[in-house]
Amino acid sequence: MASFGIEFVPMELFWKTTYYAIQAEKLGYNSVWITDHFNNRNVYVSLSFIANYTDRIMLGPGVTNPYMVHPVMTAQSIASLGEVAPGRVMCGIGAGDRTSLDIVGVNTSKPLTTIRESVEIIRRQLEREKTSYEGSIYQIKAGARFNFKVDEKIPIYIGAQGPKMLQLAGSIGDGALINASNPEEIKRAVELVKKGVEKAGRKQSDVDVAAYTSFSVAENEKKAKKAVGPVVAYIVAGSPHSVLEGFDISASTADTIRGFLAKRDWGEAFSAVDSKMIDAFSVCGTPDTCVEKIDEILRSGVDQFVTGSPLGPDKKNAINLFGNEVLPHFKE
Amino acid sequence: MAYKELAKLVPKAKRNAFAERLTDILLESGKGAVPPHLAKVILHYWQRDQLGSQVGLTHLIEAMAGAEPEKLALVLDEFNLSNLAKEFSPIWDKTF
Repeated sequence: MASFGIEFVPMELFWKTTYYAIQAEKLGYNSVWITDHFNNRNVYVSLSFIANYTDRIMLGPGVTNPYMVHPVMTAQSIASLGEVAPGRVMCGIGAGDRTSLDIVGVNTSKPLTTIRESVEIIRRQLEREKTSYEGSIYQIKAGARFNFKVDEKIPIYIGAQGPKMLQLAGSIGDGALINASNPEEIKRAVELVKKGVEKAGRKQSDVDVAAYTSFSVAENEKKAKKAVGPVVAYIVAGSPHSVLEGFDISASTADTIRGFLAKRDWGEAFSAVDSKMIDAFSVCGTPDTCVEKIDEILRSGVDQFVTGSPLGPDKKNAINLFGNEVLPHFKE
Repeated sequence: MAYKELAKLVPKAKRNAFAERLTDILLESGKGAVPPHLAKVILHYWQRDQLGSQVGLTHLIEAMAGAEPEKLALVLDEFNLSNLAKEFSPIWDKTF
């Protein structure tokens, strides 16, 4: 049976995000993912707060990136979180959001090597590896291990969108977080993850494949679409040109939106989003429409469906709508 | 303890709806509106499905009185509790 996750962008006060996470747990969601951007509240403080007020739901960063946070620190953070919520922690890691990394002048070069080495380092740290690590990006000296023991295995999910990163997720990840919302794109992505699984001589069941969607549900279709526009603007701005081409969206349009976002000109950025972009980069609509779209996505070989930001025009109502009117169709 | 007394006035049949209404307003309130210690208590009762209990309502009302007193007055009106609430002056003197 498929599992269901929910993503929160910690833009609101900690207690509010935690309130919604408790609500999600009550309604039967399986996991909570918290985004990691420098301009929002800290991901691990958010997760720690949520961990304290939930009992069952899995939780983790979704996703952190090694350009802003050294993988040794990511390992330390998730290991510490594991003490707060034993058996419930997972870690999503990806190449990061280009738009927000550009602003702070972080160079996102060699993403594949950076992610591969980061995953290796996180695992070594969790296992308290004593020997040194000699990567092409990272070098860790012998003895750089935790002063505390980690008793559990923490699954590492790789956030991926481009073909090579999707294959890498299949090759080395415990899970793949496919950053896509369109059923056809997700289908192609699942095939690429499977290719990576096969190349690495692993079993498909070794990798939990998740569709990490931009999601918006409301009683009214128009309202659901309006709510998702700003998130789609960021997705278009941060998508590789190869992905944009598949939806007939020009690179120059994406560059224009990225420029507006960088200047914090929200009005221009969001108004540049059209319905083609919304269909390409989100799952949105009424509960019935969402059931149809999710069903199609799950049939492409996805194990987990993640309702990502914005969730809907009204967060609390959207979580209720999903939990009461969408989720039951897949949990029966 | 006047918050507790006010919570007692909410008829049992209406407590959950009343709590839901207050929570919706608090979730829309701005930074600093709900002090962290109260926010944590609210989460504690929310996790246990007890926001509609007398003690849960007591904390929600306290949070509302600090964060959104005017809206609290409106909700009390909506639930036909304004007159009863006025008995608990001076807490409500400033806001009614």
